[in-house]
Amino acid sequence: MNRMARRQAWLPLGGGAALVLPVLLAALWPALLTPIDPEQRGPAMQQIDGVWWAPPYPPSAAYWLGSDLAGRDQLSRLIHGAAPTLSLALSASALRLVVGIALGVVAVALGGTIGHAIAAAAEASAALPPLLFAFLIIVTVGAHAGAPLFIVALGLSGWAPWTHLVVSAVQRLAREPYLEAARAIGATRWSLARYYVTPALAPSAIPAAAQEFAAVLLLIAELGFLGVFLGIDTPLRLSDLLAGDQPNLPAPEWGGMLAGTRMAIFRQFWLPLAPAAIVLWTILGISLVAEGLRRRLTWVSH
Amino acid sequence: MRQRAVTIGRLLLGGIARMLLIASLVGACSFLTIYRPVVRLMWEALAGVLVLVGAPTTTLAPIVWPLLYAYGHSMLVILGALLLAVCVGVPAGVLAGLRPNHLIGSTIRLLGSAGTLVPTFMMAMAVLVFFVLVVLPATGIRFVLLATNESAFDPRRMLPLVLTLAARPVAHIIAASADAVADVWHAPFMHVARSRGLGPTALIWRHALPHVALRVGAALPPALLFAIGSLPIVEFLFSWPGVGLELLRHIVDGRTTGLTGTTLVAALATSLAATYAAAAGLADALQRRIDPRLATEVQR
Repeated sequence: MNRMARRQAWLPLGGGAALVLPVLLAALWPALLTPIDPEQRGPAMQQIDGVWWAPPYPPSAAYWLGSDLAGRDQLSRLIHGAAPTLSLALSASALRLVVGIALGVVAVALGGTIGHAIAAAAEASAALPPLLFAFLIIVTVGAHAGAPLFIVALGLSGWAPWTHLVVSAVQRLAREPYLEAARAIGATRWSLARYYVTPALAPSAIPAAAQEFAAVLLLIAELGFLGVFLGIDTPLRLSDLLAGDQPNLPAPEWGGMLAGTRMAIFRQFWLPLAPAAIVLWTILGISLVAEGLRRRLTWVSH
Repeated sequence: MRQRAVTIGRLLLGGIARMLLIASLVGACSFLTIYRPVVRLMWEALAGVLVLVGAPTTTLAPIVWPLLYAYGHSMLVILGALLLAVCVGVPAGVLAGLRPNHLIGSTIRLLGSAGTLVPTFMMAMAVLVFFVLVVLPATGIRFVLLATNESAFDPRRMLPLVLTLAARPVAHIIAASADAVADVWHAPFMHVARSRGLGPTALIWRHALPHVALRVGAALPPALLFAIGSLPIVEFLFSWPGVGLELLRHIVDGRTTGLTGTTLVAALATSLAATYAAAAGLADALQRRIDPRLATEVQR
């Protein structure tokens, strides 16, 4: 039974790691995976499979995932775009965790009116779609403010589940006999949190943190699809995006590569498909890792 | 003597800390007041709300009518998606729960998981391509409006939106129904019912479905939240004039300036949050009413 449980945990963990590792490699050492400069533009016209094309070039031996409107290699831009995209997702999900857990701890420690106020704020925050919240903040302040604004907007939109997780876990654990026994033998609040609450929270919190990262990554892609992305240098106009006009993409970033591709799916399918596929690939990998971690940690804690 | 010195030291430290706190608060307040006149802005916002509250109905018309128009459009597709999710998800989930190790059960579970993993914009693009390249040539019916300047209401245009928005709720409901059936199918009361001669169909209808209804009821608010969260992307992609698209338009086009624009954006965002809060509260109340265990807990 134990061997079976272990295998059930390792299977998704291994599968997820196999999907995530190439993405990590791309983020850490992009030059290892592609020798092509992501900013290098192709010729104005090019013959592909006997047909003359102007940019964007379709997928071929020269451009495995096609090129963008400026004739730049999509694969190379995806590889070089991994680092900014993943670091943004990591920072924003870390902020969500810090804010959510800190407020949860404050709500549990102080309780009373402050606890109720934090619970109410968490309820209100959970009711507002994170995409709209982040979009509103970034567009109102101005996307030119850069990564810090994106981190704050994405990080302050999804902290509520973490507050709920901490509060509900502590309330559940407070009724456990072993915690009462620890309190009876004189355990301090710190030692209760360090030796009893944190290990009990870990099996659900660690996979949830991985899922949070995937959720933020998805949000970055969705914001990019709506024309809000890191490094945007022209004012956003929704009518242009609806009409299928692609904005200027100064730096490679997965969200930005999806901007203005609403109509491109019919003419140049590789423009939205390549970045969308890499986002899906990464989310799938992280979800599998999260599931494997959940099974493994649950098995270990039992 | 030493204790006295410690006490004096503590008092000194406390005094310094308090002074630092006051100084930093005063510094922050003056910086905010001078650099960005926060107090004035807050007063203006409050005055705006007071003006709005005391305004005649004609002043509210530019806010109320666009809000109702957009909210009505969004609710039509959201309710349609949830209805479709229940109609498809419950039978599929029950089947998956009854045959957990069978090919059908595994396939349904796998499709359900795919529904939660695939990003909404990818699902929306797949539906868009399907309706434009497959359905339109086959039927001649324009289910999808690609142009942005046509706004006449056409119920047929709801179909692709409903299908896209239903993907994730279907996955939630399949998982909830399958788990509910798997939990109760081998429960002692089921064995008793079987021993009294009840067939599988009667077992499902009389004993399994009440449990499924409870789990599905609990799964509906999160499903609704996912559907609401996906509204901006889906309405943008299909040019559907609902709350999501109107919010994007107002925020991007800078129509948020001025009292009317700001109030409309706030009202649009609040309408989504209020819908979720109302649905969650309703689902909770219904569950407490239906589930005898929860009802007893409340009475205690």
